[in-house]
This record gives sequence, C-alpha cells and structure tokens, in this order.
Amino acid sequence: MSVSVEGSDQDFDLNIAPIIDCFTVLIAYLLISASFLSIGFFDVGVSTTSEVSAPSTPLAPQEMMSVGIGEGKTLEVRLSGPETTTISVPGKGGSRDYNTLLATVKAARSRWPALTDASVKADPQVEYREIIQTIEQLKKEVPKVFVGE
Amino acid sequence: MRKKKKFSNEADQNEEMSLQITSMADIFMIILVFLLKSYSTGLSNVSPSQGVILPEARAQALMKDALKVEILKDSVLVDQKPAVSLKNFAFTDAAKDPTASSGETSAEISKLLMAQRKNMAGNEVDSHLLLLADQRTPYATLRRVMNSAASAGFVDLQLAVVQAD
Repeated sequence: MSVSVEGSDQDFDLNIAPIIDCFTVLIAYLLISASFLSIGFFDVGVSTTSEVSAPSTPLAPQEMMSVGIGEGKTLEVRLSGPETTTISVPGKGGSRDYNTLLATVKAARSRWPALTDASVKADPQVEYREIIQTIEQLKKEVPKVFVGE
Repeated sequence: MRKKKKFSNEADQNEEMSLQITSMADIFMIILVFLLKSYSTGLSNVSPSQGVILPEARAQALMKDALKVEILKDSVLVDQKPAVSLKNFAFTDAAKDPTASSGETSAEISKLLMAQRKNMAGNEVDSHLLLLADQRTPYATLRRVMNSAASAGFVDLQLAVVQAD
C-alpha cells in the first residue's frame, strides 16, 4: 500500500498478526461455550381435575382419547364418545409397541375425525422417557396432547 | 500459505520465508461469522444442568420464551433456583403440600412459580413453562411438578428433548 504525504511516498504493510490473535481467542471462546446439543420441544397441556358446575342441558358426548402407560410394557387406549372402548396394546419384543399404538390412534381418528385431543396417564413408576416416546407417537396424529389426570 | 524461497547463489543458502497470513485471516473470519451465527440462533440458554439426561425424540415445536423448571436427581430447580429437594427423583414427605386437597402438589414449587408469575408484567402474563426433566424421572414426581405448575397458572408446558438423529 502506498500513501503520499507531502510529496513523499511511504510504503507500509497492515500488521494483521494481532487481528489473527483476536480471531483465535474469539474462535476458541465460541467453540468452548457452544452447545452441540440440538434441543427440541413438545407442546403439551396439563390436565387438571377441577370442579365445574353441571350444565343445565346435557351436552352431546364428546370424543376423547386417553392413553395409559402401565408399568409393564402394555399401553391402554381408552376411547370415549358415542361409545366407549378400551384397546390394550401389549408389548412386543420386550418393549412397548408404539407402531401398534400409532395404528390404533390412526384408526380412531379416521373413525372419529373430531377427535383432536389425547391425554396421557401413567403409573407412578413409569419413567419420563417412556412418556415422551408415547407423546412423540401421539403427536404424529393428534394435534393436542395433555399429560396428567 | 505461500512459501517464498530466495537463493542468492549456490554457495550461500540464505533462506527467506514469509508467512502469508492474509488468507489465514480470511479463513478465521469465515469461521468466526459461522460460529457467531450459530451462537445467536442456538438454544444455549436452555442447555440442561449438569447431570440431566434429556430423553431423545423427534420434536418440531418452536421454542417459546418461558420460565424454566428442571427436574434433577436430587432437586427441582425453578429458574435455576433450587425449589425443593428430591431423593433419587422422588419427593420426600416434607415436600408434600399440606394445604392441597390431594397432596399432589409441592408448596415450595407453587410458591416460587407464583412469585415468578407476579413478576411478569401486566398483560404479558404467560401460561407457558419450559420443563427440562431427566429421562429417569418417574411419573409420580413429574405429575406433582406439573400439578404445582398448573396451580400457579402454568398450564401450557414445553417438554424439552434431545433431537434424535
């Protein structure tokens, strides 16, 4: 680079070594503090039991689905509405049969298109991992999932 | 990097080498921009606490800015503050809320959550809560934390999971 100062030429080079030093420190800091975990989220509602006053006129039966997670490997799908049915999904190969659960939910949805909610209940000792796996399957077919009573 | 060699003559093997760091600066600049971009869009603020193993799943919901509750092996944290002690993911009897009819809430968690809710500005009060629970947490503990959250007005939960490949 050439700069003319009062008629005389001066050649100088930009010293980028300190810039490189700064970059190295910044990159090292960002690499150390970076989180390489990719975190996802499930939107769920909390089902709570609250006392509500009984309506004066009886309401039409509402389609509802609840999935029970037992301490064994069995899943229980309870459908209530115009009729009430309970479908038991036994475990398969030492684990819960989520494929059959999904097929059951799909069949229920095709039968009752107004069915948009599902609630998940579990036995006290069932681990959170299994609850999440069940929610993951339900979310494929049902837009709203509630957890709790 | 360019290596420049000058040989004045065969006898005198005086070697001059200058490191071309302009291209290195370019590379560093690209890495820096990439890291800064991933840092700003990353969810570093929801990274779980030490020892928490989040369950794996494929989840596609977007993260909402919400209050964070974590369930660890030995405690429940509300906004990074210890709310109640646990013993191997289970509540001790002291943590049971004596005022609750069913006994299925925790007074300490509800109190902290209500305090946080009061701090939220007027109309901005949100019912969303971000829950980071260890994958080994039993449903009994999870239910009590969720009931406590619901009693404080947080009825919409975001369950954090590690994205499966």
